[in-house]
Amino acid sequence: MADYSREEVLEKIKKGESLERADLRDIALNQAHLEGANLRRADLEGVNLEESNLRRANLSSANLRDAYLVRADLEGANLQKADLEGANLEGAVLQNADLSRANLEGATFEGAKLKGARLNYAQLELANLGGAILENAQLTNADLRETYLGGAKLIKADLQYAKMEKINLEEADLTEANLKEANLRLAYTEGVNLARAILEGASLDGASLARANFVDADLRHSNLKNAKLTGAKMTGAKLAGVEVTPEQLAEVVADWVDFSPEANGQLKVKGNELVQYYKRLKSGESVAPVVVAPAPAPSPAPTSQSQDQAKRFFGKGDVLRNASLEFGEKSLVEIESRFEKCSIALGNDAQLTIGPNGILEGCSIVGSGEIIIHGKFSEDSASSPSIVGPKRVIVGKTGSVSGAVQQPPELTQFGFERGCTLRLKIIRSK
Amino acid sequence: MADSPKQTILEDGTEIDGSVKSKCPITVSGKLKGEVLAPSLTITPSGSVQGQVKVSNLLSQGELAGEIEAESVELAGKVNDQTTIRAASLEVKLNQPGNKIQVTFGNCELHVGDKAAKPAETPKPVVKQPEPTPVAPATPKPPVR
Repeated sequence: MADYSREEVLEKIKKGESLERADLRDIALNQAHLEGANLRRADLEGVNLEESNLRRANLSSANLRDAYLVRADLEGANLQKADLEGANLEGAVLQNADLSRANLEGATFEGAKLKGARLNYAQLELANLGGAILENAQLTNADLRETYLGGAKLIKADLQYAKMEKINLEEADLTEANLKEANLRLAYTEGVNLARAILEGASLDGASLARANFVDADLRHSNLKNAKLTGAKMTGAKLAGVEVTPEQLAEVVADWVDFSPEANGQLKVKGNELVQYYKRLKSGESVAPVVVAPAPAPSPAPTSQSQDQAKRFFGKGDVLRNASLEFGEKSLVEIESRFEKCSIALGNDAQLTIGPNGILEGCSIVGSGEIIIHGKFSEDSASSPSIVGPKRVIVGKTGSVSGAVQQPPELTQFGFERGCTLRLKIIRSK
Repeated sequence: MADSPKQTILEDGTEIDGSVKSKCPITVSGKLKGEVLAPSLTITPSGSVQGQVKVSNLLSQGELAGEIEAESVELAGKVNDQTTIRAASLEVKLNQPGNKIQVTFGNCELHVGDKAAKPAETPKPVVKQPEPTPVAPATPKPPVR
């Protein structure tokens, strides 16, 4: 039998008295005001706490098995090592709550708000978190085997080393989540959004990843063996050391992917070369030079800024001669190739970066954009000045410029890093 | 008391037309026209140097014009027309926050990097170096840094 009646519990809490280790089973505490209550190690098994206010309450190591916590407010509550097996927390608010090492096996969190909650080492096996909001939640080493997270929001969640075998992440949003070394073996993740997520060293063996979004995700050294990748989007994904077959890669959709070990974009492979490239890589054949599309490689989704800006990338190994190129307003252009006698027109606020491997020889750049030089630029003296009207010219420590810059009437902003090489003539606007 | 390093300071409000050769670092807050030979030259935002400059290190936040030779140059402020800078290394920092122009260049030439600069000769002083020597107006001000 319970130690107290509902009224006695409410009175004690009102007075700020502790209910640590109290036996509160079978009491109806629905819609009760229990904010900040000390219920550490209390026995609340099967208690009705529907819509109760448990903000910042101390429920650490409490027994809440099969408790009814629908729409309860547990914001900032301490539930460390609490036993919530089979509890119903539908629509509950658990923002910034601490559930680390809690037993949540088979509990229901459908539509619950767990933004910023700490669930490190929590047992969530067979729990239902469908549609739950877990943005920025910490789930490192959590046990999520066979957990249902369909449609859940796990943006920027930390799931490093989590056990996620047979988890259901269908249509869940894990943008920028960290799943380093997580075990997602046999996971069902169709349509999951893993854009810019970190999956380095993760195991996705046998996972169902059809239509998954891996744009700009880090999949280095992950295991994708036997995973279903039909229609998976992989533009910009980092794939160095990934375990996969060419047949699987034939099913993915990608404008380009990155095979550089450091994921720094130095080894980009265009989508239609991906399978051949990977076959050569696996057979130990030479894979240099890397082929990168000179075609636009727009980065799908990310920021509003990048949505506005069309990106162009010219990869190492390509050579462009006597070409005229025109880049529109706010374009982002990166050149790692060799350009000879090319004329480039830059629209307003366009940004042209000559990467460390980029060489522009006998070329001209006209327009009010920004020019960043980490590689080499040299002009043809017959067509001097070769850089006309730039808003900014920045030469990095590895950059080298030989030529003349004619400034616009409002003058050019220059930036030079120590180590750069310049044979530069600067001319005022005419 | 520790000795303060010797320095030649040309204060704001002072103008020199002629050549200055020094074994000490020179700081110019006034106007200097002519030849400058020194281990290092600092031109403060109010300072201006025009002429032939041969130094190891040059930091200019003021106005600079003429033939400049240095090992290391850091520029802000203004570089006037008909200026040539030869240096082993050059740094122009970007003023990111306001996107303001850190240094304005007139018609000028920059030769930076491999073999661009001849090292500044160790100057032979023409006159005996004074003790901390403000080449200064009657009431000296503290040096501007």
